[in-house]
Amino acid sequence: MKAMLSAFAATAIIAVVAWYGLHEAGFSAGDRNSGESVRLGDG
Amino acid sequence: MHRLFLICLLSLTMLAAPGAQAQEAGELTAPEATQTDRSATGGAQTLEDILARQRGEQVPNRARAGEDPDSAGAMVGQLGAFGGSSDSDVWSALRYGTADVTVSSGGAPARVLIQDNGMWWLNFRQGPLIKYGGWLLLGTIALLALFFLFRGRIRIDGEKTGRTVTRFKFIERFAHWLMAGSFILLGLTGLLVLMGRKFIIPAFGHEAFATAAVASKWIHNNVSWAFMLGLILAFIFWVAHNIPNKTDLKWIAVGGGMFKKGVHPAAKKFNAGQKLIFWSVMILGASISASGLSLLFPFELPMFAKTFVILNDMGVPQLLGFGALPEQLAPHEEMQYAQLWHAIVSFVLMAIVIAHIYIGSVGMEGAYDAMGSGQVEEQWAREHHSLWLDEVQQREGEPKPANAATTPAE
Repeated sequence: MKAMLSAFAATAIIAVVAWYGLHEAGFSAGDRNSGESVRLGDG
Repeated sequence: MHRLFLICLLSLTMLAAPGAQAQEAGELTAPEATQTDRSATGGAQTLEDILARQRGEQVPNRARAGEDPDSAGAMVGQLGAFGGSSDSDVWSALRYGTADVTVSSGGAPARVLIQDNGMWWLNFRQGPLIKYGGWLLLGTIALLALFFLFRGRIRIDGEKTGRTVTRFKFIERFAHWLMAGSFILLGLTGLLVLMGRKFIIPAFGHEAFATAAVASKWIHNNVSWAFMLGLILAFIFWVAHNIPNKTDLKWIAVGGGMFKKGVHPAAKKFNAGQKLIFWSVMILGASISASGLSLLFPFELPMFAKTFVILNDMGVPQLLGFGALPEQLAPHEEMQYAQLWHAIVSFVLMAIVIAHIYIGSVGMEGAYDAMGSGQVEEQWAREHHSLWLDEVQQREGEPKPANAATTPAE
């Protein structure tokens, strides 16, 4: 049971790290499809 | 650039003059407008060509692309269909990827303005994919329910010893649950994204589906890494135990003892059924991961055009009675094929995993302990993995129990 719960906790951690990492690496749809002439707002 | 400007202008002209277009269309539907007489369009396609194409008939592309622009009729009115650069020329160039389109961002995919394989993909995704994929899963569940009614729970036949054997270590169970937990999440969110429009929207409305779809997308994209990590770990831990051998043939010959009480073919750490599950998960899981990565990084990892070239060279589609697969794919087509492949292979793996979950839980007494606590009842091990138990006991220097000789390959 411990192994199962540890794995589920690890899944959650990996998901958050992957989301943060890909965002920081510039792999959001906005980052990939915009250019200097495209304005995506001030935020 | 001037062509892009021309396209914009043409679009505006078409929107601004529907009356004139309707009049032209009316003239061309007259009985005397034949398929071959293209004088009215200066050699470009006619309304009859367009209608024939909409009926699904073959229309020569030469007619659609128009004749030599230099010998085309004189320009009649501003950018009219009789000119050297008619509507059909422009739209044909866009459709067949020969137009010189320039974009300020988005790269090669953004230069594709028309991609008509998209409708085939959408229809397939909303139709046969959901229909047959859904029936595969429901059919698997129905078959397992029937099997349960017919066979009941597979019990431990012999007398329980009260002693346990370590079947899987913590790290092995961790890898299993990392893969299993993430796969269930990926399966549910994948099904929701695929089938939500058809089933969730009519039942719960657009707003509920929008929220669920956004959450599903986040979970599906980010939990995928846990699945891939679990897949790699499981491969490393168990590949050596899953190499097929002669014992598997004997196991298969008696159906693994699944259909008859008291039949317990000998097996090592993994029996033939478990090996089948292992290799299915590894091969299909790797394939799903590859197409998933292609979808996760849109347009960055195209793989289908190259695969189709290899398959064509090997003659695989011809052998199956299909024509050659397309070797030139637009970036969007790559993504469409990746999505279909991802979903089809996932449906197959989901069906296999449902059967695995059944036998590992309600289907067999004592099986869950292997991945729950990691400790299994010695008699369970004797009945289902007798050769492995012998190895473990020999390694640990324990004497064999008295009933050992009665169980293998009954």
